[in-house]
Amino acid sequence: MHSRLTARTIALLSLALWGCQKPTAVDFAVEAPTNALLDPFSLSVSDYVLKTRAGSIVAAVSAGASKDGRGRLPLGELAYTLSGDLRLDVMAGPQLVGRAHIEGVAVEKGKTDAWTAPVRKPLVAVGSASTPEDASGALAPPQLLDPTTNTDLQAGLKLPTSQTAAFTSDGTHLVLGAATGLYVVDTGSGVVVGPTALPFTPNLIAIAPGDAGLAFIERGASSSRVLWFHDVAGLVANPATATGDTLTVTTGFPRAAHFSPDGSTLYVLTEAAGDEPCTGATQPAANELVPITGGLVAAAIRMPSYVADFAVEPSGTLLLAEPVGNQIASLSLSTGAVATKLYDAKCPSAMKLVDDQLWAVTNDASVAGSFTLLHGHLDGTAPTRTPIVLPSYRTPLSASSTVDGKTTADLQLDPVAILAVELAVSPDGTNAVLATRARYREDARSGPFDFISFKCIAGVDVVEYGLYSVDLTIGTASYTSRSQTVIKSNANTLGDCVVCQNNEFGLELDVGCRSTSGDRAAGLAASFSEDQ
Amino acid sequence: MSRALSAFLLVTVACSAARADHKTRVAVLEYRAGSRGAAGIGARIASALAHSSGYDVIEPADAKRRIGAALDADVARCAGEAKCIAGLGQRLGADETLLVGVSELGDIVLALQRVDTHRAVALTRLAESIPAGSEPKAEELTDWLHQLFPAEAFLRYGELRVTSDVASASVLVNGNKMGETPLPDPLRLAAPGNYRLRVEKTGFVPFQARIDVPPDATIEVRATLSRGLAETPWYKRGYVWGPIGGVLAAAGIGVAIYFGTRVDQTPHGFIVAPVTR
Repeated sequence: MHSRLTARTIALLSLALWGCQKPTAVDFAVEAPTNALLDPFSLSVSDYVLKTRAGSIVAAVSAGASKDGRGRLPLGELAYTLSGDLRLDVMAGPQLVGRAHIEGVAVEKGKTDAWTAPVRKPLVAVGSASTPEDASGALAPPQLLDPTTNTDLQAGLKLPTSQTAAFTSDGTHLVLGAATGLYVVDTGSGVVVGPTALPFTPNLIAIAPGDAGLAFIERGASSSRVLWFHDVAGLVANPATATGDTLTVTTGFPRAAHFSPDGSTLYVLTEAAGDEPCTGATQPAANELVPITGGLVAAAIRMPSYVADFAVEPSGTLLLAEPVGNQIASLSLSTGAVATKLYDAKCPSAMKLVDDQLWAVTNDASVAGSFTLLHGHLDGTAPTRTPIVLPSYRTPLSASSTVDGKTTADLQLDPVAILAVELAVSPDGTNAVLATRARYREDARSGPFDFISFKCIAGVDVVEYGLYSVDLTIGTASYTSRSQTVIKSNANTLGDCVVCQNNEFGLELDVGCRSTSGDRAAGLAASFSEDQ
Repeated sequence: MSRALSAFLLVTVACSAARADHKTRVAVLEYRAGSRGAAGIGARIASALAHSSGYDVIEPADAKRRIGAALDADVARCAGEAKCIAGLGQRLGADETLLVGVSELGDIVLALQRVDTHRAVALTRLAESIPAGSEPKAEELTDWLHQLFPAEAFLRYGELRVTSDVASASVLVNGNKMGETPLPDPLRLAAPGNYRLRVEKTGFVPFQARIDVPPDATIEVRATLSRGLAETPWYKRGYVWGPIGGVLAAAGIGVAIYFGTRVDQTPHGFIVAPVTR
């Protein structure tokens, strides 16, 4: 009897004290966008995947898993070593539909800590700018592409026209640089703040990893200004009161700009006036890289050959796209020479680094009439090369239509090469957007060609700007021509671009080439993939 | 019941992690053909195999440590050819080699090939595809391993070594007589498993206990049998239970205080999902 009482007392005491345990837990409170257009939770969310900043999976839970008594989805055990910045990916099957950056996570024994995860859709912004060949062309409205629904959200959000754009690293804000000034778009509410006046019309924008800095860069006639904001959080919170440092680059014209991983150095790639890689008549000479650090513009570093674009690895190493060298290679900053060739690539131009994955537009043609979007890795793993059909310039042959106009014959010109001016890749690598410049050039050097019984000579130079949208999951691309400008049309003295003659019958067929006024796509940016 | 309990209190149970002498050794090698998907899949498969089978598994990283950095290139040169893969397995001292090939064709394609390193022939092959960007679940890995390896590979054993202070005592496991003490060898039992052990001899209070036998371990039980008493057994006497009750009470309170005040050592993560509109 005595022992039974003792046992009961012990059992009751144990149960009472059991409830006083102090669990160690980390809650990630998902904050959804308030604007329905921007809300990934309007889609069928299947999983939540917690990852390190570098992308390694830490834990995952199905959205349909059983919730605990507090309505929480269990991610399972976490490690005490888990600390620092994390990502939370929101998936709909294999597709990334939302992501949050969670900063400064720490696990403390015996405590339940909560961290807010502001989830945002992966978005791609496309702006517009005038072409140097036709400044009078009308600008197309901007686009805010939503790869999760394959829609353009512009109609519902009304973004201003801009020619530079960058997302903050957590994807919560989109910063736009326009001739009218600076705009900040809240990607949760869709609210646009601006314009806030800038001292110049920005041509480039760079944002440092972790939002350690943001810079607008001018492309001036003799010198170019750089406006460097050190407090990006303050800038997006209140653009009107934000202040930045203004510096001046006096060597060359800025072509591309990126920050070092710690945000302490801004690298500005410059070029000479008139440099036109890939599509130009002659290949340009080696250009220069200007490092700006500690408020000082350092001496320019001569590149090993002309560099069309560059990217900064997480280690700080610079990767170069060398159209003349036909390669993608790393740079030794101390010597200015190529350190390591990563990939052979025919006339590479725009390049993007997303985590350890590299994307570059090249003129390799694995299929006739195509160029290539190369997808490689920093370790040099054999890349995949997605062929994309080149654009073509068509002009109707005069008097070649049937009476009803249903049947026509066009003259088609293929470009000598293509140059990607800008490139944006969605964070999961499923979509890419390319702003391109193609050039169609024929002259006497190309010699005559036969057309039925006619001997034809072409004399034409056309520049076309366009926008490719590539679905990399199935390898298809759609193309929108933004403008076609005939620079030269001199097959005869009358300004025709093609002249065909049949001497046997004394016939002549003259073909005129027409311009289509417009703009060029500019300010391409993808959230969660900007210099991360 | 009380007779069994009294016997149990007189017994010491020891556990050691003595491994069985010979086990099939399997080397897991990873080969990638231009794919970065399913990162660490070789290590995951090796880990799953080690945990679910009785095999001695050499993980890809361990294989690289043993052979050197050239292993990746050597595996690539083999191009999946069984004889070549077997050669690598032999260098690792493995009986079998499991080659995990990772490539991409839209989806991530996983090709698993099990090679007998002694006979240099492929034993089983399996190809699976998973969506790009996804990772195979643990259950999928287990399922693949069960398709690749024979069922007996997943039978695991532990050993139970039973000794007694009384010779010729019967040893029964789950009611089945396994022999008499002293047993010449430890008992080999399917593991993990919970077994009812009884050691008995006429004229002695039987020893009874439930024993958990983990895989690849030897549990040692030393049973002390007490002679049976005709008069009131000692364990029914008050002077025995008084001190034992006191000790148990103190121990119980200690346990309660420990569990009541300890910090849960394992951190858990939770998602507080938004309410779907």
